[in-house]
Amino acid sequence: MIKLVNLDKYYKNKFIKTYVLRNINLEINEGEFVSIMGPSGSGKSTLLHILGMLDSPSEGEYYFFNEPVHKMSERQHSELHKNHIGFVFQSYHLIDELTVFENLETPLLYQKVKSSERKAMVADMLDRFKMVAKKDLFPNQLSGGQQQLVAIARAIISNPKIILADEPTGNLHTNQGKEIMDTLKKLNDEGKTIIQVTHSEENAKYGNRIINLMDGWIEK
Amino acid sequence: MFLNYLKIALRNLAKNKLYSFINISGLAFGITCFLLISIYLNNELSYDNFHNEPEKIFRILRDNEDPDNHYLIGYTSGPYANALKNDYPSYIQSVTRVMANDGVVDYKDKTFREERFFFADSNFFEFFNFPLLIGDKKSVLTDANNVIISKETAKKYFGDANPVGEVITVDKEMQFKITGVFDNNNLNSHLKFDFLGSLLLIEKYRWFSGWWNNALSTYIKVSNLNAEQKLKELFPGFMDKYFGEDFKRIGNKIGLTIEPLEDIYFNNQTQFDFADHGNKTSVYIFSVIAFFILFIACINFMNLSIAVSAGRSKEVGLRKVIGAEKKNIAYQFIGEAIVYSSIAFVISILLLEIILPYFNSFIGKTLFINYGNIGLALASLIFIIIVGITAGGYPAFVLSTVQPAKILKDDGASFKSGKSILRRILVVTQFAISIILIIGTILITKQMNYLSDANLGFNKEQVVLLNVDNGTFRKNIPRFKEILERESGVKSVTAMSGEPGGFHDNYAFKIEDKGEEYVRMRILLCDEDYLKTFGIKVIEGRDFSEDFVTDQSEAMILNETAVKSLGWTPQTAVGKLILINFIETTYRRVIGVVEDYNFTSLKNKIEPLAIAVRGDFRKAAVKLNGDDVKGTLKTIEKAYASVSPGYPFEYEFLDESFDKLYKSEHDAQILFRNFSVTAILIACLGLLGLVMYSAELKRKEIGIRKVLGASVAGIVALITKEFLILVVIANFIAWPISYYFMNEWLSDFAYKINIGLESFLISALIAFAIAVITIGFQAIKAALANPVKSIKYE
Ligand SMILES: Nc1ncnc2c1ncn2[C@@H]1O[C@H](COP(=O)(O)OP(=O)(O)O)[C@@H](O)[C@H]1O
Ligand SMILES: [Mg+2]
Repeated sequence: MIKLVNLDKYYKNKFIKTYVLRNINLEINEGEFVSIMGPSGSGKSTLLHILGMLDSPSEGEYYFFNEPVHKMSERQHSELHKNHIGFVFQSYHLIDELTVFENLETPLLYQKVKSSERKAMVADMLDRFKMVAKKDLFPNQLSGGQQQLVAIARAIISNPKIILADEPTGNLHTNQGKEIMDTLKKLNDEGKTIIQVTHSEENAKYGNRIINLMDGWIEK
Repeated sequence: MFLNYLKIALRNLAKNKLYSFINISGLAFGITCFLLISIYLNNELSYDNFHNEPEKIFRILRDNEDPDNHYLIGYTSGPYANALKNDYPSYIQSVTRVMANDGVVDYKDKTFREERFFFADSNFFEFFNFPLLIGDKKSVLTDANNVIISKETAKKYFGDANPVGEVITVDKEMQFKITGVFDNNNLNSHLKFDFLGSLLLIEKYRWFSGWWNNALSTYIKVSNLNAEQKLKELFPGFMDKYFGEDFKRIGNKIGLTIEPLEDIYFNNQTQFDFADHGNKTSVYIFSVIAFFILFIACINFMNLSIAVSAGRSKEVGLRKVIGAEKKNIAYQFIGEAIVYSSIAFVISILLLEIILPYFNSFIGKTLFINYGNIGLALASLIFIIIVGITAGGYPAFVLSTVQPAKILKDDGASFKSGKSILRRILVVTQFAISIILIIGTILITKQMNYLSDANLGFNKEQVVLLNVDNGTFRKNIPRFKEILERESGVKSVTAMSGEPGGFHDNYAFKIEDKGEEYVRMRILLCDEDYLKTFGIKVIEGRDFSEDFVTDQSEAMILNETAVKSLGWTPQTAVGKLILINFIETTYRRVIGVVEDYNFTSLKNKIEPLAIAVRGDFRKAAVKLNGDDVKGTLKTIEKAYASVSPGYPFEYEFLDESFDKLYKSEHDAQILFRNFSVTAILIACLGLLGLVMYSAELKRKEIGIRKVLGASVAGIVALITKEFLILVVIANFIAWPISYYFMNEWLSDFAYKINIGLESFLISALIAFAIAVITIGFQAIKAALANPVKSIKYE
């Protein structure tokens, strides 16, 4: 499903290249639950962003379902991204000005889903995450765990193949964190590919594979 | 999708109340000015566009063909029309004539002086397209005593009753039967009349058939568009055919030309006519100002949107993560701008309704918003969208390029718009425009003060002017003088052909010792008390006097310029013999020379002037001694009633009538003042928004500096300096531009102020003061904030 070949990421500052990712070779199959671990600043988020096509590699190749992502235009990136990838962040990143319902609806708007269908899909999601009563609240009226649930709901509402989660439990209490991890596990059981960044050994165990990043290198 | 955007837009609006307020009110001001001026321009440019085939209608003009003093004359005489039609049937389809007149109209117990009582040929309503409410186009003017009146006039005399068939009396002697009512309410034409009588009545007079008796305007409708050029080529032959002998006799030629109907309103080259004229320069100036103000309002909007957008970059990043494309983001922000501009538009319509009555009374027109006009509604919609795109386009562009990966890094680093060069350029532009307008206001005001304080060479205070516009009054002038001169409140009374600032005809003179050559000078015909009444100084010889009976026909006084232009000195001038060529056959002797005085206006240089005693009066002037003005006016009214019974008493003070000569300049002054206030207001709103935002961004910096020991004053200076530099730059841009335009404007005046440096310095000072107040308040607020809070906040 995903294949990275000799992938580098560096930032150029004047004439000095600062490497964030070095010579990454990685293959992830459909249905896997992968955990990326490593100390702060080791390039985990950067890797996730590249995988999610929010950022582009400086060098190397990235195949998504055998399609060469590194050769694609920005427009094709957004197209692939919006149809196949869902994102979850440590700090939830819901749109503050929109209600829960509207936050869930927004990805569907960008996919030009019809209004009636949209309503039904959002209602489904609300039902599934037991948030029906909260649908008209704004993000700041929810607890962190609830916000993260909404964020997950938003990530999966357009039925992506893969969910990228950047420290999804980082800002949460243990109990809330467990609920989120259980949710991700359930999604994985339903067939979604999941790649998560985590600091916690415990959470990493939810996955079937752990990748350790160290100063931009994958540790063997 | 649209609803989603709308929701976000409105919620953001509610969240950033102050920004939104600044933004929308700035835009609303801008749009209001723009709409106001658009309505005005639309009105100005619509003159005479309602006729059928207006491009085929022309007015006949006489051309004085004097290379030194070239001007066109809108008055022609009766015979032109038929001669033209007979001589050039293949080019001229039809002709019509219009004569302007005035008169006192009586109907039952109502008496009014009517300034716009016109006469026209019976084909007038077929020739032009003034709509008739009552009456038949073909037949309304077929009888000599027919008259058609405007809707307003009908209301004034007859209320709601049907006026057709009623008989009115004009000037106490002529009876007219009303045959129709026309509606010129919402039509703009250079022909402005309330009554239209049949020219058949005038045609009966013998003078009407004289080629030299130019009293009306002649219009032709040509058969094809090439005719204009052709006719112009044929006209010299036409004039020679009918005037050949006369030209030889007077040693002077007059040419003939035509001008398109649609050019008449804006044609300022025509010195004498009765048409309503507009001013093309004001139209240009207004268009430029309208766009300026709208432009700076849009700049504001952009500026503030960019400032606020820093706070929106997270939202944009998120939207991209969940599937938004660049274009979605761009649409969203342009959409929001359109929401804002729609709100601003609605507000500005309300503002406009409030302002329009004032504006109307100021420009003396009846502009209104035509809500029923579909085209206008459509234009407004397009306008809103264009303003939205203009104002929202740049922020939309900036935001759509936001890279989500950069924004959404979990460490919370956020997008900062920082020291955008563009925003600075925008503020500089706004201030430059404001400064240009302020300098304009100051210089116009100075010039106007200069004009009103200037020594005109005569005394215009305490002089009451009356029109000598009916035969009874004209005949009774001696009695009128006699009655008033006995009064204690009256210093002196005089009658003349035109008051200072008023009409002074241009005549040919023959100088005895200069052979056959003619000299052209301005002329003033008056009685013996003219110089005395206006306090004009005699510097050589003597004033006219009733003690010399011969002064009536044998004396003349010249002004200094005339003396100089004839190559004399005041001393040698006295005793010279001069003939007023056209109206007299015997020479007059120069008995005195007066000091130059401005008998036209300060726009013109003083020209040579000849003054002679002769009973050719159009105006009477009464000089008061100023003790009991009200009482004296009553006395004058009584005297007027006894010498001019049945005519309404109308008067004017000379200083006021003189001020009217500068009406367009005075209007410009008021407009400039109002527009510069508006512009600076809008610019301040923009600056305020920018400073507030900058202070917000710098909260943390300010907090740290304070913790490190910076003083409040130091921090205020830090914030203020950054923006004041922009105002300095704006001044440097504005000065040369203002200098250029004000120089142009002043070139209209023969007597004018020097453009000194101080006007520029004053406006710079004003701009600075306003900027300092705007910035300073915010800067102090930021500087006084509790540093600990600010640092924690980040
Ligand atoms: N725009 C950038 N310019 C330069 N360096 C960057 C930029 N973005 C991230 N980095 C650097 O890349 C490294 C990896 O960052 P990140 O992927 O966020 O690490 P992690 O998520 O593992 O903590 C960090 O050292 C960070 O300073
Ligand atoms: Mg990270």
